[in-house]
Amino acid sequence: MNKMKLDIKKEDIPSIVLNYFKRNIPLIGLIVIVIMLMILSPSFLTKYNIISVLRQGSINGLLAFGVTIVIISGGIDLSVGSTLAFTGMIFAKAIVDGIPAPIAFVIALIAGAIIGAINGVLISRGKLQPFIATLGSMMVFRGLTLYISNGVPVSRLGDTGFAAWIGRGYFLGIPIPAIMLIIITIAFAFFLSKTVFGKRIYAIGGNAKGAKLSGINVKRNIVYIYMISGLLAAFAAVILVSRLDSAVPTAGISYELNAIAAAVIGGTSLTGGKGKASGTLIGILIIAVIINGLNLLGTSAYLQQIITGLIIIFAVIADRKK
Amino acid sequence: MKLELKKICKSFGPVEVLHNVDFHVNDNEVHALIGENGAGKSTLVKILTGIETCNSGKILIDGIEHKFNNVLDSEAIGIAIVNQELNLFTDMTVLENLFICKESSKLGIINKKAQIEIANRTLKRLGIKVDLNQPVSDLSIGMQQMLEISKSLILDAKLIVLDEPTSALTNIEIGNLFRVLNLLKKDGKSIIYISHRLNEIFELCDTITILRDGNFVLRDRVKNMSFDDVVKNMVGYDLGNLYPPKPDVKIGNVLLEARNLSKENQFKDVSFKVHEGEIIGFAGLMGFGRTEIMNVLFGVENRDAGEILFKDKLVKLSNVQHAKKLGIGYVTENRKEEGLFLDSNIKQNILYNNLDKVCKQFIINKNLLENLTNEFTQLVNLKFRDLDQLISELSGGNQQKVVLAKWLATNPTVLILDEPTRGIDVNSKKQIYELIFKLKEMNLGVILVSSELVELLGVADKIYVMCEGQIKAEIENKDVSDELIMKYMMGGN
Ligand SMILES: Nc1ncnc2c1ncn2[C@@H]1O[C@H](COP(=O)(O)OP(=O)(O)O)[C@@H](O)[C@H]1O
Ligand SMILES: [Mg+2]
Repeated sequence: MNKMKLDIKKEDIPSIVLNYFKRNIPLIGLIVIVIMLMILSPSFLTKYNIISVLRQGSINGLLAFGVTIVIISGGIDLSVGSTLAFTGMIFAKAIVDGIPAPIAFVIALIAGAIIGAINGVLISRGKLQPFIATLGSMMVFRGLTLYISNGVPVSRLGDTGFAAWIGRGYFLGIPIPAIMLIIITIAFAFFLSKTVFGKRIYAIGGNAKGAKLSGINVKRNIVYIYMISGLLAAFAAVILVSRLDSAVPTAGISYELNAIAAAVIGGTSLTGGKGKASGTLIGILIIAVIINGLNLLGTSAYLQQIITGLIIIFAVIADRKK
Repeated sequence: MKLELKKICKSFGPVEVLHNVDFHVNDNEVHALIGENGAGKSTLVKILTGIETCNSGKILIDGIEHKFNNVLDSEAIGIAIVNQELNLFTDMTVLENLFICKESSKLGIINKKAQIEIANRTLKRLGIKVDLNQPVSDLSIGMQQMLEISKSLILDAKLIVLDEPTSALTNIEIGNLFRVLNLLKKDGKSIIYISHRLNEIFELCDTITILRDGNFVLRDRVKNMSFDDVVKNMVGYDLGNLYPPKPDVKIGNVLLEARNLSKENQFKDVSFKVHEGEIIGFAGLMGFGRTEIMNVLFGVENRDAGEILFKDKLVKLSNVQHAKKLGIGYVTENRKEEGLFLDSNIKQNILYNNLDKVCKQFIINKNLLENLTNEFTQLVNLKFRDLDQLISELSGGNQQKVVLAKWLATNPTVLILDEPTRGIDVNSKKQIYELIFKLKEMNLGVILVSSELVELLGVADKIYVMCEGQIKAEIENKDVSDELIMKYMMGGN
């Protein structure tokens, strides 16, 4: 019955182009938005501005890649914003207490991974729905962050080495956070398409029962997946703290939603089994470009949420149509 | 590889489904495992491959006892299984599916070149032509089944288990499969072959083991057995009395008529009629459009083209409420997912489908509900403790009877039954056939979709044979052979 779909070779060029368009709606959307901003604002296409878009996108980007693999595996991670606040606070407090910044960095990453592991174990062993488990940990770690900081930011870390470099440094004129975003994108593209673990994430999200029958240790892999998400949230936290030279206990509120938005705009399906690193990157860039563009145009900041919301809805409808 | 399963017992919750089953497979033989639906064949081979664990019993391979905790354990010593259900990842490509959990990799990085080479070799052997980079969702069901079979050949297994591999294959594909199985046998492999198609068993297998209701019945050389011997041992008594005598009912006016129904990629130009007191059957392979047609008749899905007439009047049937109001009932093929609320009790299940009947001013009338439930559970011969018993505590056969009861309680004039006896015990089966005949006597029109040909031959007045979404033949059920129907099902003319 599917024979009708098969004969691709005979297709004429217009329909190949059309097909390409249909498959790459997010990319085309990004290009359209960029062209519009180029026309509307002369300062959009300056080197300085492009770099600042990348820098702004980097925090959301790191979170979004973690959330992307979680969603591909059929789950959801609402806790990344709180994880970011918590691990950022740990990082800042450690430095203020005199611990060398690189070691504080490792401590923060470990803390992030542990939070992810807790989520993963609650979901795979405790049989909690991912939404519930990560909603719970989102509140717990937000509360813990406020508790250990007394609700007060930890500012002026006084480190001029690593802790300044990772958020504020440059390499060949490009901000380090932007470079991190590029590296992580490439790493995730490779990880998802070329590695055994990457394929298993798709398998688990696409058909959990089938994955189990194929011999995949679904429970253990789920723990690893949430650990990666937590780890990336901690990485984002360190960059954010470094950039602001301050850890704010209310940092990262609603960042999880922006991360989910980026993944979804990029074609990741909430039902699991579908998604790509390149798609998520496009999602991240669309959100970053819109924030930046509306700033340049001097419009109300509230417009940004309206537009992002509409884009999510449109992206998912377009994705279903193809 | 020589395999001995000894005194295997297995329970799901309180229900024991395998009772002290012995199962021996010799080196280099093709061994048929036969039994009715629900006899425990799939469960037995799942235990053998580590997908399920047994409650007691031993697995000996070449005389050594093994314990398998998952499929990888059994694969490691050379056992591969093709499960009855398709277990593919439809969003992933053919290549990714073939190698999931069998990746050729170094340091966790996939060696795609090596995979392509092995895949091409395996597929060529099976005579399959397919684009390795295509997503599996683009393949036909038959092709997906072939892919499942190819998966088992990727590993160089010594014992291959095939659980009903041909139920969705075309004749050509079956031919290819048999050719490969014979090759494998020449290579010295053992094969366990589960199938409902007895002629396949006689063509392919050396030895046969029969299970009935979770018990071992017999093991013998195929050449010592006749077709009738096999059937008799499978069902436990002569098939003759599984199907009660057909009541002599005069077929009345047309109730429901479909004219040239079409839906893209699913079915095309489907026309048929069902009359008062008539049972029409739909034969065909799984996944070839029958369920989709029933969904359209019941307003679950829209059609692209075609007309539906109910009692000679054109009807739109664009939603389920409309279909119910007209008097159509629909027993779907998956009772657990679509037919029942498993965590609710019998009364509630009847209630949800008949709210309008038992509600007075938005309030449920307990007596009405009680009466309705009593009447229809009796009609379907339900065995239960009390009406507050949870559905999940009932056996498969009794669950199916609840589905029937909840639809009969709506007083339908046309009842659609999609695989009504799948996975239920022989006794319940027989009772369902008796019920279908009772409905015929009550002048209902019944549409019966079944993948079991014997069932259609035993029950239906007229059989529509479908292949690839089209009706290939319309046959009065008098002196037809199952071979003829099978031929149409496979696309012959
Ligand atoms: N996972 C399960 N949970 C509960 N009951 C099951 C499960 N799997 C199978 N059964 C029951 O075990 C019995 C044997 O099923 P199965 O092995 O699939 O039979 P067969 O393959 O011979 O048709 C049936 O009554 C079925 O309902
Ligand atoms: Mg079975």
